[in-house]
Formats: sequence, C-alpha cells, structure tokens
Amino acid sequence: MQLECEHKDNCQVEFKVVISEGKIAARYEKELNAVLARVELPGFRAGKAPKHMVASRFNQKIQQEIVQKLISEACAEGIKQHDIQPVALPVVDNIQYKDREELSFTALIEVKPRIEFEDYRNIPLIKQVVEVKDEDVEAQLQQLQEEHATLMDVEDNRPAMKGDVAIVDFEYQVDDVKQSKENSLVEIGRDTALPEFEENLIGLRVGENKTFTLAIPENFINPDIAGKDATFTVKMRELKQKQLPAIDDEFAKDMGEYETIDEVKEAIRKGLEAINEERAQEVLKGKIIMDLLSRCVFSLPKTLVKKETAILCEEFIYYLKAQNICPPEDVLNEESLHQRFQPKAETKLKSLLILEHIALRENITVSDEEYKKWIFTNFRGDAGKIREYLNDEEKKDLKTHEMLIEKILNFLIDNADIKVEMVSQLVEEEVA
Amino acid sequence: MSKYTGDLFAYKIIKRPIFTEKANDLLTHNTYVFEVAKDVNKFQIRHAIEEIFGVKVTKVNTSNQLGKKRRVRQQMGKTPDWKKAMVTIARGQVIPLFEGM
Repeated sequence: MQLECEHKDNCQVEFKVVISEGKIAARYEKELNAVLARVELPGFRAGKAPKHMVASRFNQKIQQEIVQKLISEACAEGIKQHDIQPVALPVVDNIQYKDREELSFTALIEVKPRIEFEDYRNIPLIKQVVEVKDEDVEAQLQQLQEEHATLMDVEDNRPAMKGDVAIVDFEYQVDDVKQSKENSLVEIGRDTALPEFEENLIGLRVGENKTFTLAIPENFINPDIAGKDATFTVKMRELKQKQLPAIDDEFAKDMGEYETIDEVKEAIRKGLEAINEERAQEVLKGKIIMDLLSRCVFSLPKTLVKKETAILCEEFIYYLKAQNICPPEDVLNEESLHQRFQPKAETKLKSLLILEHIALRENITVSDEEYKKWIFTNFRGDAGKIREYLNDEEKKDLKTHEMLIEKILNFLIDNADIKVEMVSQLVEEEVA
Repeated sequence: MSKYTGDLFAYKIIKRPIFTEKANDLLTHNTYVFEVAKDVNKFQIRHAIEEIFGVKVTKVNTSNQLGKKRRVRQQMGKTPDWKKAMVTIARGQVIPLFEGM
C-alpha cells in the first residue's frame, strides 16, 4: 500500500492512497471464504454451497465491501502512522477501482489545528476588585435587621401606613369571574405584587372595607387577568407594624457566635470582600481568554465549528422551550440560527483548543484522585450520586474536562502579571 | 409421433438443471442432474442431452419424484410429481452450464 500524506493547511490533511492488485486479491479471497462459511443457498445446507456458485452470486457485493473496508483501514493506518488527530470522518474522493484491479483514492481529513503558541506566561492584566464600603456593610446590616423584625398589633386602631403588614380578605372580579382569597399577608410599600393594590390599603383601619378598581398591568404573572380591569373588595382583618430590633451587642448575640456588634460588621465585611474577590477572579478568567484569543490566531476545521454551532442552537431552542417562549418562524430558521451562533461557537472552540494546548505543554492533568475528591466533597452522604459519578465514564469525562479547564485558567492567573486595582464599581467588559 | 419433435424438442425434454449439495457431489463422477419431462424415457433423455450440450452420454438413471402433500385451508393438495434424471457423460467432457455459475 502506498500512502502519501500532505498537510493542506492548519486543519486539513490529504491522503493519496494506492492499494495493489495482490492485496485486493488476497482480501477478496478472505472475504469470499467468510461468506462461504455462512451463506445459505437453496438446495444446500448453510456453509456447504460450492465456491464457484457463491463467487458468481456475491461477486459485486463482496467487491463493494472490500473496497469500503480497505479505504477505511487505509485511512486508519495513515492516521496512526502520521500521528494525526482527526476531528471528523475522512471525506473520500476520486475512487479509482475496476473489478479487482488496483484501487486508488484520496481522502481529506480534518484534524485538530496545530497551535504554535508559547507566549502565555506573564500576561499583563489588571484585576479590578470592588472595594467594600461602610455603606455596603450598613445595608447588609439593615437587611438583617429587617429579617429579624417582630410583628406587633398597631396601637389605638390607627389607619394603615406604609411599612405596615396587613392581613386582609379580598375578592376581585375580572370579566364577571369572581375570585376570593382569605387571610392574605400584604406588606404595604414593598412593591411586591401590585403596587397600586398596596397603596389602596393605606388609611384603612381594622374591620373596614374598601372597594376599588385597578388596571392590571400587561406583564402581570397571571396571564388570565393581565391587561384587564379588576374590581377589588378588601376587608382589613388585622394590621401589624414592624418592630425593628436595636442594633447592639444583644442583636449580635442573637445572630449566633458573635459577642459584639463590631464582630458582626467584621464578618459581613469579610463575606462581601470574598464575594467581590471571586467576582474579580471570574472577570480575570474572561480577560485571559480574550487576551489569548486575540494573540493566537489559527483557523478551525469546518465540521468542528458546524458541530459546535449545532449544539449551541439546540441548547438555545431547548432553553426557549423550557421558558415557554415561541419566537417567530424566521428566528427559528436553521440558517439564521446557525449564522447567529457560529461566531460564538468559534470563540468557544478556539479558547478550548488553546487551553488544551497549554495543558499539554505544561503537563496539567486532572488525576482520578482529584475527581474522586470532588465527588466526595460534593455529594457527601449521597451514595446513589457517588456511585453514579464513579461509574459513569461519560459524566467523568465531562467533569474532568471542566476541572482541567478550571485548573489551566488558575495556572494562567498564577503566572500572569497582575496589577490589583481597587475600584468603587466594576467596569463591565464584554466577555466571551 | 411423439410430442417431443421439432427444432427445440430437446428443450421440451430437459426442463432445468438441479443444483443441490447432492448434485454437486455427483459432479465428481461426471454425473449431472436435471429435471426432465414426466413421460420421457432414458433414450429420449440421452438424445436430448447430446443434442443440447454436444457431449457423449454414457449412462442415464431416472427416478420419479412424487409431489409433496400440501394443505390449503381444509383441502388437501399436492405439488406436481416430476422426473429426475442423473446423466453421466464420457470422461474428460464437461457441461459448461455448471462451471460459470
């Protein structure tokens, strides 16, 4: 067998193959004997039919089969010989073959693009960490205070005010359809469901009734009544006011392991700082990828892009279905969808390939121990899940790949030239 | 005159060659197996084979094959009876019909 291997461009390899007559004859004989051993002709027991009869009857079929097999075998061997990493099945062309004579063909194989890229250490980056200000801590503390508020009946049967919590019975009528609800809890002035509804409660005393008409906004949760007019009849049952606890050391003790209010503040500050740090780290990862993409330029194999685009489109459609959104026909058109997602697929593939290339150069891998550790920390005590993740190869591959990407990114951050900058607000950049 | 006359009389006598495992084995004795018309004798068969294939026939054996019983719904039926002829030809000669198949 003659096999010429030619690198057409970064992501395409062409094989030119010639297979000699002798090899084809031997293969034909082998295939014929295999057919002979199992074929069942009328008048003969299985495998007992005479050779010349089988040969004449199955000639065409056997030849087709061996040509196909020889082609795929030749491609497989070429791939092994030249150490090629294909990403798609070979596209075979120019098949020259006639009745057990010489066979020649060309095969075009798309391969993983070769990446020559070394300049990934000491990437200059600016890490923006959002400063935690005293106001942020105060806001958190206030929220805590709200959460720990106690409800008290209002004194002297005074009318409802903003900030009160009312327990009401109400009826509403939309298009002759009446609905009613009892013992409904409404926090006045929190803008939860219908702001106008809450406003209408202001000034009502316990035991009083009120009837009013409201226009339900178009984007209301319940589509049956959205955009229509509703007539409400409300009866105030109880009215309570919130009593906020004083922020002092006593409050701190209620929170748990804290002694003084300053300790609580410190804990809040640390939590916020950790969140900001994490966010900054995420942004940094996006920036690294953007940087790598801008500096490492190479072309991608078409089939790979197509496949990835198809996956993204599918995910998009799945997402739409899950959200119960039905977009117009022209959006769902396959072509326009592909056009829309192709750039995204390309950047995703490119970044993955670059990261994998770096992993290979730096010998970064995810070991089985690390994977197991991840399982046991994530599904502690859930034997079913643990077993599932231990035994499912597919899940393992997916997760280890994810972990690998994470590891490479961390490696890149560790080796990057990072300037930390404290800012009051994060400047959002477009991140792939 | 019998009905097996005329230009193509031989093809009215010899109906088809038979390919089975047993017929295949008989080839080692230079014997070929055919289905023939039900009412012909060995002389007519010898004549017909010599006419069609241009070979010298040394021996003809025949046997009547009774048709198999078949049932269609409630009714009993029968596949037709037929005659089988084992024709041996002179050593060194071949009937090409079987070779290229």
